[in-house]
Amino acid sequence: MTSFDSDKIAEIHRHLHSDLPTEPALRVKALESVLVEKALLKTEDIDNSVEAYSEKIGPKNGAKIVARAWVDPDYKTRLLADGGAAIAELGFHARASGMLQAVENTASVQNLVVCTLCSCYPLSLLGTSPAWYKAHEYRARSVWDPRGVLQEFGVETGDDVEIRVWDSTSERRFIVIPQRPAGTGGWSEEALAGLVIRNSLIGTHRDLAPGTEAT
Amino acid sequence: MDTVHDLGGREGFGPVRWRDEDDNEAFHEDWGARAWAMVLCFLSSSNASWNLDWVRHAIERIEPMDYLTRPYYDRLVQMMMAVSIDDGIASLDEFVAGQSLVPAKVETGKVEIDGNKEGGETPPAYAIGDPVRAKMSIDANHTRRPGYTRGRTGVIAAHHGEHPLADANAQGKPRNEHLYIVAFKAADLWPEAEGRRERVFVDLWENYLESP
Repeated sequence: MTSFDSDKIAEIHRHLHSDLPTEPALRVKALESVLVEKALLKTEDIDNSVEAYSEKIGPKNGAKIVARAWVDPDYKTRLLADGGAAIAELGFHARASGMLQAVENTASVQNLVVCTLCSCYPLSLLGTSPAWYKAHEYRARSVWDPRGVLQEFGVETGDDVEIRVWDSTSERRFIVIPQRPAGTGGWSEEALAGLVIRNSLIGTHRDLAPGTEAT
Repeated sequence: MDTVHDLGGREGFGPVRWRDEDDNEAFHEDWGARAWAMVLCFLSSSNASWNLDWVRHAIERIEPMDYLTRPYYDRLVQMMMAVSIDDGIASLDEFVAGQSLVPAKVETGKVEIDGNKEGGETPPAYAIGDPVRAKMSIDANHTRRPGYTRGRTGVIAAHHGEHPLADANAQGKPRNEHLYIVAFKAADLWPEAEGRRERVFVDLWENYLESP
């Protein structure tokens, strides 16, 4: 049974630090071997999860949600009011990623999502988070220097644009609705979804390029 | 507890690494993908006695130098080993040997927690628009109150009903508490941000807060 003893778990970490090989791949192999032999995990379940996160779950899900919000103002209203219920309309599990809150960019607002304490992210909707999202630099700096961070991502925001940073400290998760690019009137939902890149769903990208409609 | 994981607002870090990562590249190394898949299975294991907040705390208690220098997915691997050893399902010797040395113990002790309840058993202490200050006191255990909010004053931007309190869950004593979004003006968190149009929105439980 779990002890829930903070000092005990720290002591175990000190032993692991001393006794384990330093090579990550060897540690993973040892972990899998032991937990499968103990029947805590099944190899097949691990294989299936690798496949799901490599191929099926990813930012394209977020792009679909954004495209629907762009073409259907009523949907956008519902998405902003209750993210879980709104993504369920598109066939995603309502609690797919904890409790989802959508936040909307406008001409005067840029949203930026972070988890300063660990790496919380709408995983089961958008897939694994990008490496930069989990990096210490992003976690440390996005709350006190969001404009500097945005500049590193090539996003210039005027002083008139408010930056809203969302720190994911509870089981609620965030998705940013970027602004719809000009010149995309009449585009199909599918073509619009093709414009939405992952960083725009997190807030480190602002102006999506209209490009030309792929048909 | 103020360990190195509490990174928000820490100075000294340079430009964000790995900014150009491809949207469709879920994993860089096979071992990372394997580690991630194991975490998902580990958390949903039907005979687990741990919960997500305990697991987070187990990551926070990794040696500070290891936390800052070892790869992300490697920290998850070490967490799973530590949690398994603590539970008793496996031993340090087995992870070092890379194989099971004794038959598995079958034990079921899953801790059930209540999900988000509509409304609360107790009325919320704060209403939208109320000024609140994040308490200064430091707990010895897991908390989701970032250090940078401590002693700082913000405004209740939303109330989300009662949610399982992370601090209590990580100690195996689950209970629900009112959860709020608190909006902090950047200048109220960092004096040098005076005049910047920036706000930080943080989800904070009721006992993290006090009236200023």
